[in-house]
Amino acid sequence: MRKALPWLVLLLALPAARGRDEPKKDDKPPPAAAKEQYDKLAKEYAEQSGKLLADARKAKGDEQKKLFAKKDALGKDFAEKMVKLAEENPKDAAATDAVFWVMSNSTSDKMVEKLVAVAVAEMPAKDLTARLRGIQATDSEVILEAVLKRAEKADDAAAAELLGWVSNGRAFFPPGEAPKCVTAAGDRLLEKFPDSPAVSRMMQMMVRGGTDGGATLKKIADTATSAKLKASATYGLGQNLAAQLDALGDKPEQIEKVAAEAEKVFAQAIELFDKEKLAAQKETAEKELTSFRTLRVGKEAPDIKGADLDGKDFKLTDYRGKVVLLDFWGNW
Amino acid sequence: MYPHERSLVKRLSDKPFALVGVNSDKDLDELKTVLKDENISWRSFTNGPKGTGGPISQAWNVRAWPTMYLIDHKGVIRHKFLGNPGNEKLDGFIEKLVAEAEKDAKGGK
Repeated sequence: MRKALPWLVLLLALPAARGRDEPKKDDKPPPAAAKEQYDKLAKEYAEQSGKLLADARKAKGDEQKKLFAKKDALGKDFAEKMVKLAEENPKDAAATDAVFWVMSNSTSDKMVEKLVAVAVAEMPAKDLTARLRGIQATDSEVILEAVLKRAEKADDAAAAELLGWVSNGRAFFPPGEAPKCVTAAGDRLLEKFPDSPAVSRMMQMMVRGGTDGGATLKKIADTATSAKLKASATYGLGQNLAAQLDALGDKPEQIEKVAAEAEKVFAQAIELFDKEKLAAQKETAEKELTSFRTLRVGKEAPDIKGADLDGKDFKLTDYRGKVVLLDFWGNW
Repeated sequence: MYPHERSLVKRLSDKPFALVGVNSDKDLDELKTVLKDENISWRSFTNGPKGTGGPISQAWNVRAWPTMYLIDHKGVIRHKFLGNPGNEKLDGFIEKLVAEAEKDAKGGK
C-alpha cells in the first residue's frame, strides 16, 4: 500500500476544506436541529484537526507521530458522533451528510457501511458521483456492492464514474483477492463506456498493479473493440512491464526477458497510437520507451553533472568504484 | 528516512559506498537549516529552482518522490525503488553490492 501514501497525505490536508463546503440539500430543508448539529460537528472537527495538523507539520520524530495519532483518534471520535447523528435522524438529509463525512474523514468505513448503502440506493447517480469525488474508493465490500448496484441502474456518464470508483477498490485488496463486485464493475465499465475518462484512470492504477494488473491490461488490449482503448491498454501494459522489471531488482536473466517483452509491447502501442492519429499519446509513449531503454535496471546509469547544495560542481561518475545509492529526495 | 540514511553513511564510511542525493527543494536557504538540524552530511545535486520539475529528475524520468536507484561500482543500475523499499531490504541489497565491489578491488580489476 506504499503507493497510496501520497493520496493519504492529500486526504489529510483536504477534510477541513471539504467539511465546510459540503453541499446542502435544498429541496426540502431538514429540521434545523440535525443540520445544525452536523454543521457544528464538521466545524469543530475542521478547527481541531487543522490545529493538530499544523502542529504536527512543525514537530519532529516521536512528537510528530504522537500528534498524528491524536488526529486519528479525533477523527474516530467525531466519526462516532456523526454515526450517532445519522442513526438518530434517519430520514434527515443531514444523515446523508454525516455518513459521507465519515467516509471522507475517518480511516474506517466499516462503521458506516450499512448507512452508506441505504443512502446510495436512493441517491441520484450524479449526486453520488459528486459525493464520492475525492474519496479514494474503500475496502468495504458492502459499500462497493451498493455503488455497483446503483451504477447498474444508470446509463450515463455518471454511471461510468461510479463503475470506475468501484473498480479502484482493487487497490485495497491483495492481488487477486478483490471482491467480485470490483471485477464486475471493471468489466461493465469496459463494455459500456470503453472511451470514458474513468477507463483511463482505471488503467493507470493497473500499471502499478504488478502481474495482476498486467494480466488485466493484456485482456483489455486483446478484447477491446474500441481502437483507442486497445492502444492505451497496450501502452499501459508496456508501463506495467517496465514497473514489474524495476520491482524484480537484481535478477539478470528474468530482467532481460521482461525487458524484451516490454520493448515489444511499447512498439506495438506506438504503432497503434500512430494508426489512430493520436500524436500526443504517441509522443508520450516514445519518450517512455526511450527512458525505459536508458534508465532501467541492468543498464549503465547516465552521468549526472551538476552543482551540490553549496554550488560546487561534481558528477555522478566521480563515484565510480563505489556502490552508489542515488536518492531523489526533497524535504517535504 | 533521515535516521536510517545517517546510520547507513556512518556504518559504511570505510566501505566502497556513497549516498548521493538529488534534492528537489526550491528554497535552498530553508533546506540548509534542515541539513544542519538533521545532520545530513552526504552530498546532493540540486535539481534547480524548478524543484521537482528540474532538469535532473526530468532527465531521469522521475515522477515519484522518493525514487532511489542503487548503482554498482561499475556504474550499472542494479535496483530501482519507487518509495522506500524498507530499511532491512535496502541494507541487504547494498551490502551485497558492496561485497562485490570489495571482491573486484581485491582482484585488482
